[in-house]
Amino acid sequence: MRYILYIVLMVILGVLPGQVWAFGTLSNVGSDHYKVDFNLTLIGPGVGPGHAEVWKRWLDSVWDTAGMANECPKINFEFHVDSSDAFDEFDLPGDYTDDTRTRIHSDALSGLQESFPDSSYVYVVDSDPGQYYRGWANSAEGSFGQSGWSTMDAGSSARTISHEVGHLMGMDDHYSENAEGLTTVDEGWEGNLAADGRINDSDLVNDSSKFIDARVLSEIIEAIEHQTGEDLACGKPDIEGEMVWHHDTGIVATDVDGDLLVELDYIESEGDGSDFLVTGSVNPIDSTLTCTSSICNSCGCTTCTIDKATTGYVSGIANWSEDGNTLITTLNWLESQWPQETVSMFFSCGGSATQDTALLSSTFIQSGIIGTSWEVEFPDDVAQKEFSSKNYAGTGIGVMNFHTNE
Amino acid sequence: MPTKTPQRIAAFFVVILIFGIGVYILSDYFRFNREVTVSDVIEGFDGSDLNNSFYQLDKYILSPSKHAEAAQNATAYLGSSDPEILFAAVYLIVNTGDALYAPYLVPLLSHDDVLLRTVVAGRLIGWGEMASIPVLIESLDSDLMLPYADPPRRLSELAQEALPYYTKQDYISRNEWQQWWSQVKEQLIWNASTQQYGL
Repeated sequence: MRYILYIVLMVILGVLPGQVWAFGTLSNVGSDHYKVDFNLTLIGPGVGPGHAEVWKRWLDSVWDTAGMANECPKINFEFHVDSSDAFDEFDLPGDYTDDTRTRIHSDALSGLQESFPDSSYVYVVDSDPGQYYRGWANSAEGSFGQSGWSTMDAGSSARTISHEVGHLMGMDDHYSENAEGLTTVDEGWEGNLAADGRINDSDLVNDSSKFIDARVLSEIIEAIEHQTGEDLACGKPDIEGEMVWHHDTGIVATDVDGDLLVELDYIESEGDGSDFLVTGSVNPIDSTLTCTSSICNSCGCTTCTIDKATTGYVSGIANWSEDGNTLITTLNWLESQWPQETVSMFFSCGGSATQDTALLSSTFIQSGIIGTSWEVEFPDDVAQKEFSSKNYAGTGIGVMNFHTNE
Repeated sequence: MPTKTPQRIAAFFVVILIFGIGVYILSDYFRFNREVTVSDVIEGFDGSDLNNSFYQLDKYILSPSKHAEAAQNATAYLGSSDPEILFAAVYLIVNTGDALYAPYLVPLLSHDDVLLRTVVAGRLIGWGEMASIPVLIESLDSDLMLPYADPPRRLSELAQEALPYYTKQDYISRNEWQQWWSQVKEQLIWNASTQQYGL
């Protein structure tokens, strides 16, 4: 039970806005609109006065323009670039492998992380105009759970900086090199920041949306999703035909004549004096699930809120009815990417989602008929009610969570 | 004794497990703590494993206290006929050396490989070697790309960066630069204190 409570707590925490990951912060600033705050620290002998400011200006311009030009979701990028004249000397360990990346972070970067936590780092090589230095960056894929790491030279162009920082955020390369060092742009990626070396710097800074398209942003979005557990996808899910989430202990969602129904055909409860009765009818967009609670009045609660789900299998907005007896949940997203996903519904009530929370865990599938309802009976002494729908596989992925305000 | 066989088998596997863990820890330790010499780095340069090759070069470039050692030892490879070794040696000197190493690189300004001689010229122009200027001018209208660059970069970018910076001229086309060079090449002087070429 405590394990379940822990999962619930983690998921609840996970849906709070402003999620921090290793190198930045993701915030939901509106419908299908996010903001990425990306922290970058410049170190090394090549860092000069003004570097941080110039790099920030370029990065903000290039990535924010492209993010806001994206059809959906819109993403604001803001870079917070700091610099330090310390850490000139750097001992790189071993060979360049995935493991090495870990070693760079765990050994060499430990001092940096104390001084500049929650940041990615760029070692800036001291260079003169005309001096050829080849920079590189860890991909976000390689630095999950850690700060990103890159090296560039002091004279790096806006294109190089944007490209390498793009890697830190999750962008892949889309060109190949042969053994002689000659590069070939992947087919279809001509003129793209991820591949093409012929992009003019001023053109890029003036309007990056010509050089960073939805494919690049989708790579970054995917990396952010992996790190945060958020689902940044937006719009109506593409649902065709029958869609089944799980057959044993979860919600079965079926597309019937364009409507997606949630079928509840199983109920299980733990704890004393509690049972469920939930009314459910779920369409893909703007459908309504109505839950009734027989004890809502005694809880003295009138409002219930739900944040958009972390990974978006089901999410929506829920409000208590005026009389406080009915919880009306509007679901605006329902999607299954994992056909065998276990879908469980949890109900909890108590002062807060901590150890003193009385948790009722129920897993159910009932026959999917519009109008089926769940009834939730709260203990008399409950100050705050909490109702969560979880769609999880092992680690817990928040789907739907609403609770009363005290 | 037959009754002890299961315990012996279990003990055997425990010993094997402990041995395996020990081997792993030791090999891991040596892999990450072994000293890599300049020769290792240059001779090990492999164009088919660029990430690791440049990573090894960065062990010296990102450690300024090792720059003198790197540049000095790299000079021994400047006569190599192996293009990868030659490139690695040049790259290391370009990024760890100083103007004292210019005499070692000057002969490469006439190397057959335009990519290599342009990389060399891009470094030498800032070390006061005027012979680098026509090499850079030559690259201005080249459509070639810098070798191994990440992200890909035009070869001409080195010249576009360096020529205006060190000469304070702002010509655009190769022809303009060529004309300027023809007019001034006999009078041009390198001023080491200002890091500029002037008349």
